[in-house]
Amino acid sequence: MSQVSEVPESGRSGSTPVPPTLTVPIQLRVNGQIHTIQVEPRTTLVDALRTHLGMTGTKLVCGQGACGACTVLLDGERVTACIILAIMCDGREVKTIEGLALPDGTPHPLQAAFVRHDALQCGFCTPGQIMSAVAFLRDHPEPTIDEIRAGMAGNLCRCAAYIGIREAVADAAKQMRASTATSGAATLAQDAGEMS
Amino acid sequence: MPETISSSPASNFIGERRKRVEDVPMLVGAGQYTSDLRFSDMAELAIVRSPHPHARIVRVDTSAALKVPGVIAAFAARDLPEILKPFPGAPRSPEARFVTPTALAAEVVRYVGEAVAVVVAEDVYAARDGADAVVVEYAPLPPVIGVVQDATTPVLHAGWPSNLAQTVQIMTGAGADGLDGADVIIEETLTIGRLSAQPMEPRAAVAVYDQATRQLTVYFATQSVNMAQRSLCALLDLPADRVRVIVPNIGGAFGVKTRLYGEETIAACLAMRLGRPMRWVGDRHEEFTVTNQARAQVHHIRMGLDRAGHILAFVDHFQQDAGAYNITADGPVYNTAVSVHGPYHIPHLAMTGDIILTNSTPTGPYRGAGRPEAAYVMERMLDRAADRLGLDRAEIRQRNLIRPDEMPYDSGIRRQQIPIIFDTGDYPAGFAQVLGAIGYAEFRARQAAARARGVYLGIGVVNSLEMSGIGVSDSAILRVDPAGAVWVMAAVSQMGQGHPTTYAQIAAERLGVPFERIHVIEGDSATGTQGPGTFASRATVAAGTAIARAALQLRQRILAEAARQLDAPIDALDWRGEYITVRAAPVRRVAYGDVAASLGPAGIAVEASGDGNISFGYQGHGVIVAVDPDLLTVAIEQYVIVHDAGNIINPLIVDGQTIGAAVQGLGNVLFEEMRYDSAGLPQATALHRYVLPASIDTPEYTLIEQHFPARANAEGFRGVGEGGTITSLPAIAQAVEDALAPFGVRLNALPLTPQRLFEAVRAAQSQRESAGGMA
Ligand code: FES
Ligand code: FES
Repeated sequence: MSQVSEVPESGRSGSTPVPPTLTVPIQLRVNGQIHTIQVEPRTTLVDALRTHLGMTGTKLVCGQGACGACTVLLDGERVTACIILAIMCDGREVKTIEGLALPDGTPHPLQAAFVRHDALQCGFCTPGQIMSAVAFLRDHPEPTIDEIRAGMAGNLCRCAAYIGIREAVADAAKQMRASTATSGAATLAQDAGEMS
Repeated sequence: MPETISSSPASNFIGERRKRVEDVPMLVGAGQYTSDLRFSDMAELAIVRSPHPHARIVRVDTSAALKVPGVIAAFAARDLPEILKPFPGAPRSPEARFVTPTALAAEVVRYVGEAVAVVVAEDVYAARDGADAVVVEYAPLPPVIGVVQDATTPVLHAGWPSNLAQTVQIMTGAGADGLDGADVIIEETLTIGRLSAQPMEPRAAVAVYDQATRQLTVYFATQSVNMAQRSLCALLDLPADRVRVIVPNIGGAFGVKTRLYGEETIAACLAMRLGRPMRWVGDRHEEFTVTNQARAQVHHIRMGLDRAGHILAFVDHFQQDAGAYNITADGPVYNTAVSVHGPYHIPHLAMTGDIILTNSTPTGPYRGAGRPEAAYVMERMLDRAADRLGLDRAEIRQRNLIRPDEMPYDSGIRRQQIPIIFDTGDYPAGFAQVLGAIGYAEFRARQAAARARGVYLGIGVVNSLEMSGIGVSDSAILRVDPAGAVWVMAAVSQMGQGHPTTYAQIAAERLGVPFERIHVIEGDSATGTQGPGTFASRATVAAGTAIARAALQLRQRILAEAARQLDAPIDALDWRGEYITVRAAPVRRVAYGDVAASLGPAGIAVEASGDGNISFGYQGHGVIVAVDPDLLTVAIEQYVIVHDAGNIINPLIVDGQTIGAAVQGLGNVLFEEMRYDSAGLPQATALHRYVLPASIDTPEYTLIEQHFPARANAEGFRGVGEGGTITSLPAIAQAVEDALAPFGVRLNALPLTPQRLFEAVRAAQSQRESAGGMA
């Protein structure tokens, strides 16, 4: 039985009484670690991550599912965390930008490729771009540039580092194919060098 | 030419395509932006905003908000008298009427989104619930929309005879009288629609007040850290030594984060009043309605030429929709007035820019800040002139371009006393490269072949100049500490331009130390460095040259001391990496950090001023588009940019800035429009109603560089952040019009959305039909 505690009403209007709002405990598995937090039903996943868990790597830009900046992986699928309620993620696995590098700090090939190809300027869209690209590359391990253009169309970058992003995604795809083909050690070591 | 000194460093950092040092935190989710900052006991703010474009505030009742769980306090304007002063600022012309808002509106609201009250709560959800519960009673007033106004138009501000705030005038030669000698005079009205910059990071502010030390620290993403600090001091009545502004990472700014807004002041005031850290994080709706908008100009032009297509006179009376307050509106208007000239011979110029208030969000600088409008106007008029005179559109440009043998070329224009002189470059050669790379000579045959297949191709080829700097210089401080670390401080901020890397490259090159030893500190009012901030493509020019000069002076001081310690003349020394050695006897050496340590307990510091002089870099665009004749969508087939960035510090970053600016321009031309309806309500308040260019819209760009070091500063630097936007407006517009030439359309107004293209095609059709009917 999950515990439900009542908090006093949270009115949306000064005059109309609003039924009491509840907070509920949920369990999120974020980057492999289990967190139990108490959220309101209306709490979005991005707010749960940023505010409740203090994980601010995921950015909030539009709050309307229109820009992709808040992209995280939910059970491996890319979702825009600003239009998913945290309670919908109870018991599910969330992967964010903070959990992408290997535990020893070795960056993901995408992270290293973003530096190489100047795929970011202000960096605000970058966590969303990278998380989106992780899912995209899993489904398209050998993408053409046109497939990347279309497959990454949901992630806006106002600095318009798009060309660098496309090249980085294509390059990372190549690196990832090479590292699954071989042991991967050489590639990852090179990536670690890129990031240092 | 750079200042020369003895033992000049052998390093080669300036010009190196170097990966950015600042990328890593942002790639792992550790980049700290304002909304990521958290302080213990921090409260959150939400702002109550006007839903009316123009209304009297009858009553603000915050009592219901106070009953919302989690709400701590709520304030209307009357409750915060200490900040109810108009924002600091001054008109640049004594005849101007100048009006700035207060942080909260007390009596009248003048645009949708103007702040009326603020709610403080334990968390954001509660703060927003509280804001929803605040009751504001308004008495609506008739809204003023658009710059076409007359004697019956309501006046926004008491005591003003009309909504005309200021008229900016620039004249050279005989001005409008220059038209008298023209063989042809072309008249046209051109419109550049209203835009919103839409940086990905919504504006935010965090204010922390330390009761014990009485120090106020305000964190926010400002492009102008020193101006922000001074304005906050003035608004809060605090001395300079009690207020510090720190700029965290900035998630895009593009000009709209130059001015101070109300929320920073409100957060600061409440942090002091309530004794808790305060955070306000805006949402996308606020980014659409509160943050400065831009462009919004209408031009009425008369251009006089001789029969051979030489421009004689350019006369342009234009109106700037300033929005409800002209807090920053004059900057773009001045820029437009002085930039229309561009890279051409214009013997007689008369620019008149009216700054007119309306009930809409204030407008101000956004990427290009008046220069894209200027380039659009000049280039489209050249298109019209070519068509009228039966000249090729490239040919008319070639006939008017300023030649390299005329450099430096004094345009005769003065921007607030500062002469506009084109310092160096070869514009005809640049344009020839544009024509060559885009395949201009072969294009008409290609176009005809495509049209035979039902594909509508069009070409655009244009020129512009990127004015970098505004004639004000900055200072920079360089310090070498006893461990040999080099601290570079400057009064600018960066929002993706790569200052931590480029400034380190400059310092490493001019000082001669390893790149890795350099740390760049900017965006902090406590550095003590001077300068107005990052805008107008000035950061590299003004702060970059200051860093270079400070580094050269520091090098000289350290070498002089090393010479003394090593008992050898300076020119007998080598400084490579960590050590300064006697060239003839390398065992005699000393670490530069040790030399610095011997000069003082904290090492040695030097402050120097840079060269703020304006420089002008050529930029030419060639573009081929394909317009879908049914959907009227535009696809970019080919895009060539030729640009002169002077002495380039980091080509990787320059490429990114140039292309990024061009893609923004592409969005500005094809997709983006902030529309207000006739009731004064903004029609684009979410990203699905204001289309930004995405990856799928972004073409590949061919970049070709010219290398004419600027003469306006010692390092030959030019700014590069805006040229791509400035030049793409006329380039794409020309190309789309060319593609649709079979339909007989003339495209005078931006943006060129499918809807507007549809209207233009239909208008041309009905014009033809009625002409046919009369025949
Ligand atoms: S912030 Fe979630 S899609 Fe824009
Ligand atoms: S890097 Fe600035 S928005 Fe993408």
